[in-house]
Amino acid sequence: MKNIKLLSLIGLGGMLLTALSGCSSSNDDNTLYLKVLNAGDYIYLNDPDSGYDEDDLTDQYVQWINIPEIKEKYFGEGFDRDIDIIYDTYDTNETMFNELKTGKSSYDIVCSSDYMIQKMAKFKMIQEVDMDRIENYRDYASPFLIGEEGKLSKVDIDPNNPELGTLNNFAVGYMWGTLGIMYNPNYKRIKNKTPEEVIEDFSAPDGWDVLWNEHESYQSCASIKDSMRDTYAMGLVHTFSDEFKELYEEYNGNYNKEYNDKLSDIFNRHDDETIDKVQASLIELKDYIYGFEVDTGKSDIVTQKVGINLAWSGDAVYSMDTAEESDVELYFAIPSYCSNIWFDAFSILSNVKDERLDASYSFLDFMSDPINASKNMDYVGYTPFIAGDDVFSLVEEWYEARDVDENDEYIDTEGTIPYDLTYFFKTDESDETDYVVYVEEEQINRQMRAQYPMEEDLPHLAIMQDFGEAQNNKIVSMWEKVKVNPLPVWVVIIVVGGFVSILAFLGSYKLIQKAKVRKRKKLREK
Amino acid sequence: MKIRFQRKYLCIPYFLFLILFIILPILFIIYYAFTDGNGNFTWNALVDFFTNTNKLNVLLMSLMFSMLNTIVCLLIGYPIAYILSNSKLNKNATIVMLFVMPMWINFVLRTWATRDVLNWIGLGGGDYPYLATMIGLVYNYLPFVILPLYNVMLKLDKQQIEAAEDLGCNRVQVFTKSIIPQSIPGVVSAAMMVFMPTMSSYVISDVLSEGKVVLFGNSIYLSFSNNQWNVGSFISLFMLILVGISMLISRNFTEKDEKKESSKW
Repeated sequence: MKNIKLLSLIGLGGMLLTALSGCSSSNDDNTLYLKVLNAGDYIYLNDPDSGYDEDDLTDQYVQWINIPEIKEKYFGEGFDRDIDIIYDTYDTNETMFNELKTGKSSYDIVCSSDYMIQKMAKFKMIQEVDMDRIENYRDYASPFLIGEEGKLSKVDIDPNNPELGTLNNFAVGYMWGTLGIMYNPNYKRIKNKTPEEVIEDFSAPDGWDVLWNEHESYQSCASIKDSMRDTYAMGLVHTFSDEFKELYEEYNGNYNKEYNDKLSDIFNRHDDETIDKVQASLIELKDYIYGFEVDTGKSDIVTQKVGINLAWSGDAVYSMDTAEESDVELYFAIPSYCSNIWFDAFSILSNVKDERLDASYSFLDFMSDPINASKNMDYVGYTPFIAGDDVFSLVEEWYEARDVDENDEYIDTEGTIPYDLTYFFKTDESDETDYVVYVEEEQINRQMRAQYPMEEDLPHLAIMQDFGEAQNNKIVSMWEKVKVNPLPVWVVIIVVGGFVSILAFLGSYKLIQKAKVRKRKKLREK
Repeated sequence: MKIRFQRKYLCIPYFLFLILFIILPILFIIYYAFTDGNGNFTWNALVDFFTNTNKLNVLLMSLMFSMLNTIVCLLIGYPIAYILSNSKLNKNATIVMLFVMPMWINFVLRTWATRDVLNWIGLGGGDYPYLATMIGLVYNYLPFVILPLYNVMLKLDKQQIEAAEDLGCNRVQVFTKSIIPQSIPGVVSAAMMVFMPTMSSYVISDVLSEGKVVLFGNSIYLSFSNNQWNVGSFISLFMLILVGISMLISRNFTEKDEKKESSKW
């Protein structure tokens, strides 16, 4: 989702085409077309260079669902239509919302971000999901996210109207991650800091504030997202840094549910006063950074155009992997005062029923199968909702650093430390497996931390909810103010004066020429 | 009944194109510019635009860049076009082709490449957002100035220039009294070809200034991507009106040009 504008423009074109052609093709034969809308580049596609050489996942779904026994399981007996899939992509949550809201195109399933699901549920555009019909999701999705105390269960669709339920009632999770700071401690433009000091700066609980407070050292090193919500989040954490600090010290190590609730409350402020304060912070920050980026940050930091980047965890993993190939070491930090956890999830549109609903559940069940989740994780680079052994063994394959003896048993290896993932992979109480990976020590600040945050990070993560229509517009205009550079008065006068006089000159040019000709004629007559 | 083929039927494809992709979109823009979210008539977008300091700032910024870009392009392009039109070097227009050649490559690709080059020579957009944007704009629009100017220069009335020299003008006077007045139509059309596209340019400023310079095009994109269709449409409409005004003004010169041509015949 957190993704590429160019690609998705192509996707948008494709979406329009299918919107035109889709309506004619769906009814006239005996095939049931399931229509799915997802962000661009966000599902496993055939890629022989990766570990798997298989058909695209959507094709695999079609082959799977058309097996008679499987079909019977989801559709009941006597259903003999073929099933096919129409899979389209979009570029931003907002354009997707427009498409669906104006009714220009109809879909059965749509994958979008947390706040957008909240918004769609408020507008009653999506329906509640029946968890028991998605067995794989019910059994394998991590309780950390969807359990009773999980992150999704804590977000009400509408805080003023708790009967609407929580996000967990509407969303079938797909990928999740954090928003953090990716940095290159050896970056050439960082002044007066040794690499160790840089790592220390950003790993500190107040890592977000470094860009403001230490701007002399980090002048013009960082690029931040040209995306309103993410940058707002960053500005907000800095603005209320003191309050976060107070909270952090008050609970001092005992970071319980109450702590996280209070933290989330501060993180989700969007009243007028807050917006003004955040605006001031961001305008200040603008002078300290290198620039705003849409999707270039993850490659710029590899080519060393920038040394610090506000990054989503999946992009950070990609950058760190790529950078290693050119011997650049990148680090990732999730500052403890407060950071953002986000997720993308599927939801079923509200007008979907009968056999289309059956088909939708079959697709969601297929996507939640741990094998398919691990394929997506391998291809996309983000972290799926699904726990399960297949996913865990992929994690081991990537990060396990211990040597093995001749019996394929791990032996203690120097320089490795245990990284406990039990919080995520333990799906029920009776499960006694230790989900621990022994990783290289530096992984604490690198890919591993980005892929799965440490258990001690979790209380400090908060979901950023929908702002609501009115406040969202105010934040848009705040964002505009942050991006626009006010011109000094003399420049305004020169520009306006220059423009008007050029217009006047060009407009009257013909008249002047005519007058000249007349004058000349008169002279000649004399 | 037999339908006889008439030549005017050949216009039908273009006519359909015209309606679908030009007339209808303009009507949509006008519709959205003067309605609110529920389709009721309102002046809100207009009032919002003219009272919002951010948007006026963006307008001025775009005007400033457009004017500067036009002036710089003309200053660079005019002498080059003049020299090329006379030079023996350029007998078969090779040099002109070299100047125009960058246009063969898609401008988005060129802009990304420019970003790398500027970074490499230490003029990256993060440190010098205005300068980097200016360089990118001039680089992209220079060919649009050289070509029309070159064409006008080729058609300069040589006899008039010679006459001016014979009748006692010095070199500067020949230039100001004969060459400049003759090339004014070319200058105006070149200026139009730079000024209007710069107003609405979006990628160049976004990429080269690292998002630090916001022009009209960026502002329109921001409005639409945040679901503010009415505001976005009004800004687009306003830009259309600006284009219209400049077209009207430049018509002054092209008509004159045609008359001159026809009187020759």
